[in-house]
Amino acid sequence: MTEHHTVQLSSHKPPAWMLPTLSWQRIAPFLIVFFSGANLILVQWVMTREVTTLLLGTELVILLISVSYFIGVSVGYLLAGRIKRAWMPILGVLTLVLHLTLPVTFRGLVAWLGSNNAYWAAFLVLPSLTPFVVSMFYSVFLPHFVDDGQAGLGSLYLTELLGSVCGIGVLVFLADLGVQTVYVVYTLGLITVLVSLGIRRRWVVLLTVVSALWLALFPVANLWSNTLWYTTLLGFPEGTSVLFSGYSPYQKVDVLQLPDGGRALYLDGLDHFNGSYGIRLNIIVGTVPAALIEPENSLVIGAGVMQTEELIASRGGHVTTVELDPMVADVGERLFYQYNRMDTLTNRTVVVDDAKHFLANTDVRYDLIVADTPAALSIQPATLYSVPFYQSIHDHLTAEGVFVGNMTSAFVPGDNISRRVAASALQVFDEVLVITPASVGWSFIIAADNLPFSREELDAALRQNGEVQFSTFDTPAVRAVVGNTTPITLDSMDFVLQTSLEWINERLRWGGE
Amino acid sequence: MQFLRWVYPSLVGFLLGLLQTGLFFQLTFTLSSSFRTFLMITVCWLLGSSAGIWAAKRVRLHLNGFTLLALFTYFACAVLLGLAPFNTQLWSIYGMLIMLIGLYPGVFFVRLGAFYTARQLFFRENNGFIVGLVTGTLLFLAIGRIALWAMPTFAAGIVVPCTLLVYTRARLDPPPNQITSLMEETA
Repeated sequence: MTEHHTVQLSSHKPPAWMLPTLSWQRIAPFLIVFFSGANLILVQWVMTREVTTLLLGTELVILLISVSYFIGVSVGYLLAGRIKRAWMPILGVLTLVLHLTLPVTFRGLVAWLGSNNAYWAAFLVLPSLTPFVVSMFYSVFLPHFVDDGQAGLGSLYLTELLGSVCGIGVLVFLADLGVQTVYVVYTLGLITVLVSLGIRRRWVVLLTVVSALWLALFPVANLWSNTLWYTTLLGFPEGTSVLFSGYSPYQKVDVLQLPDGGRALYLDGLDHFNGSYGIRLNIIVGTVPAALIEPENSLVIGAGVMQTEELIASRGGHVTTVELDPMVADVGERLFYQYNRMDTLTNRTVVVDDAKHFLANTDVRYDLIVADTPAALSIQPATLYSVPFYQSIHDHLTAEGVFVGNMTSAFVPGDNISRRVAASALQVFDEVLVITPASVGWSFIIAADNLPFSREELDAALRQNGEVQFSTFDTPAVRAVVGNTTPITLDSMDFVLQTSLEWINERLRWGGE
Repeated sequence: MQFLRWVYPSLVGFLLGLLQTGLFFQLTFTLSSSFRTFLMITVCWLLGSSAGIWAAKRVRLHLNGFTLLALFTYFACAVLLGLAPFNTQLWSIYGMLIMLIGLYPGVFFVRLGAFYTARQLFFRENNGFIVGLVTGTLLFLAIGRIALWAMPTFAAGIVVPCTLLVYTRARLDPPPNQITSLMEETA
């Protein structure tokens, strides 16, 4: 007879002052479910950023990963009561190994697929693995314990929810310390689950020691596997190393040291700044407009490496950067001095905020607003190309103020994205010029109600800043190319779906050509 | 009837998936797309569900009352966002509204736990949630914000009568594991 039953069947009344006796069998389901709730949140945080990066995230990839994760939860529910109790500790140990090594093994797997010209298979393999490897294990317990009569649904479900809230608390307070710290908490949680499942003491000691050793080595393995991924799959030359890799609340942030001494910034595996290639883009959106209007007060939306800001601020005037992601702002400041001189320029401010929220809550007007925002491959960045956002920018420009925006594709009659971006700008601004410098390969909007320079002056500024080949569309030409294209609003985001599909389709052909 | 009983948790999951997706889109578009918004939605939803577990057997309100409370609170969020866009001084009000929405899943799981095994209930609800998540996202991309209003209304329009049918049937033909007090609470 178990201790639990002994307690229940005991007939004599305890003294009034005595606390109720809680047997281990009674507490164990609650401990297991609590730490399952917490660990599901933690592993989801790691998995989402890692798999999004490996599949070079777009809205559809994000959706695919979310669905894959929740399917794992369903598989766990389905298996509840069908897996023998004796198997659970074995599955738990496997889960510990798989989860602690997940970033390294997944990167290794995708790099291996890429080196065998089969990157496309990652789009099948990772979403297929995720349900079984990531989320299945923890969701077995709650329905199993309830249906087994070990505790009531309400109390166990409440325990799991509180575990989830604590998991979120860990991310809020400890995620800044790095994935290694989060993994320490995660490991303690899973070992508690295993202890509650009744594994032997020597196994607990062994697992704790091995986990601690792995976690001590993790930073090295993490940087090594990141480097492997960038050199094997994204074609960076030998000698490239990863200086920094971290999970922010929004994305995976990687800083690469290139063999030529340059540095690159990648967000969720997507190129945000890449040495000399990125510099031309920043000259177009920073140096050229600053030379034309000599702004007193400028705003740059989206930090990146903050070189645009340096190019404007070095001519005088104050430059404010608004960046959503604190980790991007931090690495931009700390690791890209050679490009942004953040250590010497004093006429700069960095604000961590959502640009939409920032503009809606400030009365400051700017002579120059630059939107150096990521491509509209998912919904949130797409809102930064919408009519309401452009209207907000318009409302924060001085009378002679100018807006410069990145279109992320070439403005040509057949290109849907750039035409829709231009259509959005035409809804808001009286004058819209579009330039396509060959050194960058895509187009930029220059817009205002009353541009303080002519097209000829713009062309001259481009030439003075080293741009030898470019095309310029004036407002009537932009209107002609745009035609009756629908502007981007919160009610016309269909293009995100389209670009997302095109992007995935393109990636599926990697290695096949 | 057997089919309805089978599919009912999935219909509720579908509605919950739509509500959560809709909240996420609307709040990130017109309050702030910062992590704090995501955090607020998740934590307040979870805390609301926890309160719902407590309320399930203490508050004498029909499950459909909680469904409609969740739906109207969802619309209240949308209206407030329209009236005061990007006003983060209203964080606490949005938090409370989301907690009110979160009551519904908490009550749902506890009360329906008497009609289904936990395995069936969580499995079917979660499958519906996945469909709600996917449908909400894709329809928003395809037809815009109207999907964030119309789809939850449509789903609630199906869930409310189904709830009545499932409960009525349960009264006539109670499963062996059903507790009598449940009937009293939901009558």
